[in-house]
Amino acid sequence: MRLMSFRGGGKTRPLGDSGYAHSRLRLVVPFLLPAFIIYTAFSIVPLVLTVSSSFTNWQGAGMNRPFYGLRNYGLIFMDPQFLHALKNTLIFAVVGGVMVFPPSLFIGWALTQNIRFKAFYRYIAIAPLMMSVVVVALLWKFLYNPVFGPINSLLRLIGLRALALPWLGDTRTTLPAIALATAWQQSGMWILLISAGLQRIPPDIREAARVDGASEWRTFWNITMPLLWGVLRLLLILWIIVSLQVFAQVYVMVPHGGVAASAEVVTTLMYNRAFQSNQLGIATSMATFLLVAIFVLSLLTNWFTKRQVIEF
Amino acid sequence: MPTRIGNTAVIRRRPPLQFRPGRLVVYVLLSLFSLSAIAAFAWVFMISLKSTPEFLSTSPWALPQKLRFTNFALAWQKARIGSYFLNSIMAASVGATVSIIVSALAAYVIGRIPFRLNALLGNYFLVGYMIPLMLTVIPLYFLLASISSANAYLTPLMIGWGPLLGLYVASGVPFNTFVLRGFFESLPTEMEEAAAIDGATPFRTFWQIMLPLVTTGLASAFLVNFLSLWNEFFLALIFLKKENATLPLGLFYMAQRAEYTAQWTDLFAAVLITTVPILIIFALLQKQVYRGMTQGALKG
Repeated sequence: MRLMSFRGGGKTRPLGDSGYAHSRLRLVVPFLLPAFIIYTAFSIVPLVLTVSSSFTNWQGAGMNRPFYGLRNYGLIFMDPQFLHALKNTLIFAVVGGVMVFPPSLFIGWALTQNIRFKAFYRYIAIAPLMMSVVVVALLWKFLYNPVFGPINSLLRLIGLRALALPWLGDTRTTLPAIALATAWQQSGMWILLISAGLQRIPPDIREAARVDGASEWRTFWNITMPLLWGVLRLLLILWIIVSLQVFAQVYVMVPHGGVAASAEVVTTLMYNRAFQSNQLGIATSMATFLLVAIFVLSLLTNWFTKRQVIEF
Repeated sequence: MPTRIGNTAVIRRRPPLQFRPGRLVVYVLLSLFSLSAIAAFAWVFMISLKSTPEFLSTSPWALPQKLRFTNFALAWQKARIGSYFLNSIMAASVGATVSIIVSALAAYVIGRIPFRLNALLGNYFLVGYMIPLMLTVIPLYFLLASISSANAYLTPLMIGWGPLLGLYVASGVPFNTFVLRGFFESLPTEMEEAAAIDGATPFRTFWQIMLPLVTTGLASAFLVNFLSLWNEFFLALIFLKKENATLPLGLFYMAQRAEYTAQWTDLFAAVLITTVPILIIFALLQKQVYRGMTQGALKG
């Protein structure tokens, strides 16, 4: 397994007929141009604008962007609100990662086993991934509701009245509650890729271990897991990318970042700085910092987990 | 039964089912997980059948007094979910279609025609995987807004659907070119040679021979694009006005209103209107969705 990488036209051998091969080159420009223009205008230009604006004191009205050097970066790192949001983002990533990983691994594995109703279970497990984040956020907001939400009604019903907390209204529970909703939706991707990865492992390897007398648990831990490592590290990187830029869940579930900004994350703060206080310089330096952080963390994860991948 | 995921078919020998305690744990956990998800949606459906006074006065577990679908009608018309629905269909299908077309053209050139900048451009399109639009799009909005305030005649192009669709198309390009390039590369050279000998122009070879051979790739890429655009929220939040929202955005504004008006029941109906079509499409096209989603990630 390799992460996405590119070899230009590697598999295509040049055609023998040089006249045709030559006339084929006339396709290059017209075929590439539409994708190139749209992609450049709407993916690369925004990136360049963001990074360049982070060195300016842009106030959002017009394109007057006075150069400001690195001062925005100094300002955001002295801003307790930003540091708090950054801390929350990291907590969200770690807590959500812990929530998404074990259940997905279990369900992804179970779905490759010889069980009944497999198609049904798989459908239910992956369906959340097909829903809009807004739908998932609203659904969980209903579930957590202290007045009519089923979670608290259920807790009161079974006598755990003390546990019936206002989940999205308590500074201690808001962030984990949002992380759980996100983990539930993201687990769809994890389950899908884990079970696809497990299917790719040739069955005879596990069979051989079993014949040698290894228990199911041992086979899983010592044979399957190492072979699955390529998929797991890909998912870890995906989770870093997804969780560090969490926005919609927080924005929909708790307006204004929750009680005492207990769920304020970097993206929601960035959004406020841009649209409420018109501090584009500050907002873009937060965005640039997060971009670099995501990039560096992904590379580090990729690098630190690389050697353990077993080719098969 | 052959289990197909991605491009690999694995034929599994099924040992006879036998009772093992571990199996039981697997069933119990899977069933609990599934039942709670189903229960949550059943609950949403139950509430969507209640009237607001009934919802506020009865227990959240109480069955609705009668089957009334007025909330769905209310949500569809008064809360404008109907028009948001059309907007979402428009945005997702236009965005996905255009993205697939431009990506297929680019992927064909990158995958099959060796030329000097081939590898460089292939990597250029891949960079997009690493750039989350969500972090970079805000300055673009302000740039376009300032262009439009200086040149009023450009406003329709700078604000609203124009840039949003541009972003939707661009957001699909890295995935689509990557997946489709793989499909084009896997086609045998002989097909092209035969067409060339028969005197077909390069464009005709592409259009009538090569493109029809990658229909599966086009279809699953379209599906993945459509689903992600149907659910897209952040870009719509920035570029669209309240009156002109897509479904996720419209739902969000509706939920904001419900905080003050306590009109929860039609919001529950609206959540179902948004979700059920997607769940049905997903049920019908499961295999294609799995294939599409694993293709991008698990290559090689």
